[in-house]
Amino acid sequence: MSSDAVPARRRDIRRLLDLVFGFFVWAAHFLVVYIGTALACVLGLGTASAGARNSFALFLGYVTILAAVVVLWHAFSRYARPKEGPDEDFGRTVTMGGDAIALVAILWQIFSFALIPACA
Amino acid sequence: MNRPLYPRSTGAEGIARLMEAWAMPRRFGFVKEVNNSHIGLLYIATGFLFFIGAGVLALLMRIQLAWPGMTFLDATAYNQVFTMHGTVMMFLFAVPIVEAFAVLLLPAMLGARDMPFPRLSSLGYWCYALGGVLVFASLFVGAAPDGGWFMYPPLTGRKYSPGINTDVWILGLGFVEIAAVAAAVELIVGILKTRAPGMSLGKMPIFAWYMLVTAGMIMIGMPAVIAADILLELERAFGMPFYDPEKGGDALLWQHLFWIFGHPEVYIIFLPAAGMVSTMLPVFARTRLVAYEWVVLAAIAVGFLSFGLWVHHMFAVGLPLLSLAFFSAASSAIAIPMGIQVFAWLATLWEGRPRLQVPMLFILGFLFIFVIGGLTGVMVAAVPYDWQVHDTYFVVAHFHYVLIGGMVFPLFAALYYWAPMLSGRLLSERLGRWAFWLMFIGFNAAFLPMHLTGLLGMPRRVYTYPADLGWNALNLVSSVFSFVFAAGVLVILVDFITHLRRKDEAPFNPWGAASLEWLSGKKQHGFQSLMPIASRYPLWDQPSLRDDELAGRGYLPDAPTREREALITSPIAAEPEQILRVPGPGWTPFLAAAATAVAFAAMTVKSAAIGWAAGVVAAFFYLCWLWSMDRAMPRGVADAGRGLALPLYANASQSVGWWGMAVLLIADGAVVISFAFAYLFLWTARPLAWPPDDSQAPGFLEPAGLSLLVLGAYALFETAERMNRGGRGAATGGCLIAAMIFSCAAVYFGLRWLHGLGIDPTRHAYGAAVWTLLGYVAGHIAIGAGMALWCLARLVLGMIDAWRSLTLRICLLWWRFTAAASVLALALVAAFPHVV
Repeated sequence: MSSDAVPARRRDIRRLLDLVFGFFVWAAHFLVVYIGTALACVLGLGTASAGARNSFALFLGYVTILAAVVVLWHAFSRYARPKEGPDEDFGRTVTMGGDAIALVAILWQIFSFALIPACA
Repeated sequence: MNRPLYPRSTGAEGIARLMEAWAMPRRFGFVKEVNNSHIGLLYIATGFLFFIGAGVLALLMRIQLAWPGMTFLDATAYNQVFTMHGTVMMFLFAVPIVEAFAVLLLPAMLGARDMPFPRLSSLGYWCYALGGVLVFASLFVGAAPDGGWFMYPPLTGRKYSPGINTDVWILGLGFVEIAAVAAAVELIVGILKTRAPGMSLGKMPIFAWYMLVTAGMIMIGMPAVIAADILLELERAFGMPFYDPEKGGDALLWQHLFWIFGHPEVYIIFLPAAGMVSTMLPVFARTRLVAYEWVVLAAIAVGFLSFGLWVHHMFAVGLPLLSLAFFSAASSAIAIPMGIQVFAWLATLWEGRPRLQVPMLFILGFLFIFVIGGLTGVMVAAVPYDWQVHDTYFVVAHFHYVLIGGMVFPLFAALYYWAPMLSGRLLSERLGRWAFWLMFIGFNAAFLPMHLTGLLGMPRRVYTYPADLGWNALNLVSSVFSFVFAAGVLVILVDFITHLRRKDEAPFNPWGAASLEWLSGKKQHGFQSLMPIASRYPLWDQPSLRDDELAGRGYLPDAPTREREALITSPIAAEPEQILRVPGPGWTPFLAAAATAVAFAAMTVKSAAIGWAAGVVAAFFYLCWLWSMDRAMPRGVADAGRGLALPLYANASQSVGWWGMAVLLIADGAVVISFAFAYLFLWTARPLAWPPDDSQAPGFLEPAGLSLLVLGAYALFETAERMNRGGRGAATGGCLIAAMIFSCAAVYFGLRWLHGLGIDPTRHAYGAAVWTLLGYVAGHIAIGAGMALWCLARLVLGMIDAWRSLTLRICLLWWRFTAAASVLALALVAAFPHVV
C-alpha cells in the first residue's frame, strides 16, 4: 500500500500546486524586485551614478519580463494539455485565471520602477 | 479482495452501534467531548462572548470621546481600553469565530462525521478559551496591555513598558496564536482528506474553498507574528536587543513581522465571511452561484496577493519611495479578485429570484458597507493620500467599514441562517429585522462621520481633544449612533436567548439550501451513512440523497469497528482510501491546555517555579497523548459499505497524520524564515560592519562539520526507516541510536562553537539574531534526537514494525525539514559576513 501511495501523493501535490503556479511566480517576482531594491539602496545605489541607476531599472525590467514569460508559458501549456478528468474544466479555469491575475499583478509593477527612481 | 474484518450489521442494530460510538460521555462531557459539533458550539459561544466584551469597551471609548474634555476614562485607562478592544476583536473574536464556524460546519458540509484530529480541535479550543480569559481578565486588575493592538516597540520594550501589561499580551496571545495554527492544520487536512466520496475539488462547497485558503494563510501569516512575539519577549525577559537601536536593533523589524501577519489577517477574517456569503446568497437568490470557478480563483488570488501588501501599513516610516510603490501597486492589484467576488454575488442576485429574509438583509448590508470600505481601501493604497490620512480617524472609519461590513454583518447573517443547526429552531424574523436596521443605521451613522473627523485631522488613539477644532459634533454623532449599533446587537442577543425556549422546531432544511450540513442536522454522529456526492449542490441535484442516507445506503452506516470512524479520501478526486478510527472523548486535551495555561500565566507574572512545574505537567500530558497515537490495527480490510472494503491503517502519505505533520512544517518553516529575515534585516541597519559587535566572524570549517553531523543524523534516520521497512528491527534500532548520538553531538558542538566566537546575545542585535536562529534549529535537532529515542522505545515494545511504521514516517518528515533548515541556517550565519 505504502509503495503505491508515493506516486499518487506526488501527483496530487503537483496538481494542487499547479493550480496556483502563477501566484508563486508573482510572489517570487515581488520578492526579487522588493528585496533587490532594498539591497541596492543599502549598498549605496542612492549615491551611485545615473548609469548605475538606469542599469538597476533595466534589471527590474528584465526580471519582470522573465516572470511574465514564465506565467504566459504556463498558461499556454495548460491550455494545450488534453483534458483528463471530470474536473478538468474547473482546474483549467482556475489555473489559467490565476495565471491571468498573476500576470496583471506582475506587469502592474512596471509602473513603479518606470515612474519612480530607485532609492529616492 | 481479502475477507473484510468487522462485518457490517444492518438496520436497528447498526444504528444503535453508530449512536453508541458517537454518544457524548454521561459525566464531564462538557470538557471531555472532542466531537466537532460540541467543540464548534463552545468555540462560537466563546467568540461571541469576547465580541460582546470588546463591544462594551468600544462603547466606553465612545462615551469618553463624545465631547471634548470628558473625564470618564483617564489616559491610562483609555490606553488599556483601546488596546484591549482591538486585541480582543482581532485575536479573540474575529479569527477564532470564523475558525469556530468552520469547525462546526465544515465536516457536515463535506459529508464527513468529524474533523480528522478531534483532540487537536479540543486542545485548540481550550487554549483559546483559557488564554483569552487570561488576557481579558487582565483588564480587571489594571494589568491589561496598553500599547495598541499592534504593540509597536520601543513603546512596548522594557524601558517604556516596565510592567507586565505587554507580557500579558505576548504570552496570552502567543497561546491563542498556537490555537489558531492548530485549527488551521485541522481544517487543511480535513478539507483535503475527509471529503465525501466523489466530492472532487471542483464539487467542493464554496465555503470549503474559502476556508482552505484562509487556513493556508494562517499557516504562513501567524508564524510571522509568533516569531515577532518571541523576539519581543526575548528582549523584555533576557535583554536580547532586537528592537533597541542603541544596540543595533531596529523597531521597524517588529513592524515588518507584525504586518506580514497583520495585513493578511484582514483577509483571514474576510475570506471565511465571504465564503459564508457565497454559500447563503444562492440559497436566498434561489439559483446557483454565478462563476463558481472564478470565485474560487478570486479567493486563492486574495490569499496570495494579500501577502504583498504589508508595507501599506508602513507608508509613513521612511522607506524608499520605490519600495512603497511596489506595495501600492500590489494593493491596487488585489482589487481585481475582490471585484470578481462582488460582481459574482451581484450576478447571482440578478440571475435569481431573491427572498428578502433576515440573513439576506445582513448580506445586502454587507455588500453596501464592504464596498464602501473597499473603495476607501483603494484610496489609502495610494501613497500620497495615505500620508495625509495616516493615523487619523479616516483610517479608523476605513477599517471598521471593512471589518464590520466584511465580517460582522455576514457573521450575523450566518447566525440567523445556521441557527436551526445549532438549536433546532429558527430565530425570529421580526426581531432580526429590527436588529438589522438598528445595526445598519447605527453603524453608518457612527462610522461615516469618522471619515470627516479624520480628514479634519483628528488623530487616532487620543483619549480627548480640544474643543475648538471642529470635531465636537461629528464625535457626538459617532458616539450616539454607536449605542444604536449596540442596541441592534442586544436585540440579537435577546432573540437568541428567547428562541432557545421556543417549542416550535425548525423543519428539515428550512431555507431550501443545497449543501450537506442540513442533511446532518443536529445529530452527534452527523450522518446515518456517508453518501457519495455527484454535484456541487447535492440537496438540489440528488433528490434521493436524504432517503438513501437515512436508510444507510451510504458508506460507514454502522460503526463496524464500534468506534468513531471517518472515511479518508484522496485530496483531489475524493476516492475512498481508508477507514480512520478517530479518537473519542477524553481528558487529555483539556488537561494539557489547562496545564499550559497555568505555565503561561505563571511565566507572565514572573513566577518561574510554578511556570516550570506546570510546564512539566503539560509536557507529561502531551507525551501521554502522543504515546496513544499510531494504535495497533488489524492488518485486514473492513467493510465500509456499498460493497467496498478499506484498510484501517495507512502508513505514509495516505494517512492524515502524515498530512498533519507536513502542513505543520509549513508553519514551522515560516518561523525559521522569519528569524532568518530578522538576521538579514538587522544587517541593513549596519551594512558596513558585520559582525558589528567585535565578535569573531564565523569561519566555514565548524559550520561544515556541524552540517555534516546534522546530515548524518538525518541520513541515519532515513536508513532506519528503510531498515524497518525491510523488517530488520535490530538494524533499525542501531540507526536510531546512532542518529540520536549524531544529533546530540551537533547540538553540543554547535553551542561550543558559538561560545568560542564570543557572540553575546545581549550585547548587540547581531548576537541576538544569531543565537535565536541557530537556537531555534538546535531545538529542532534536539527534538529530532527525542524522536529517535521515542521511535526506539516503540520499536523495542513492538509498537513499530515493518507494517506499522507511521510514527517513524512522521518523525522522518520532521528530520527532512530539520536537516534542510539547519544546513541553510548555518550557511547563512557562516557565509553572510564574508559575502558582505
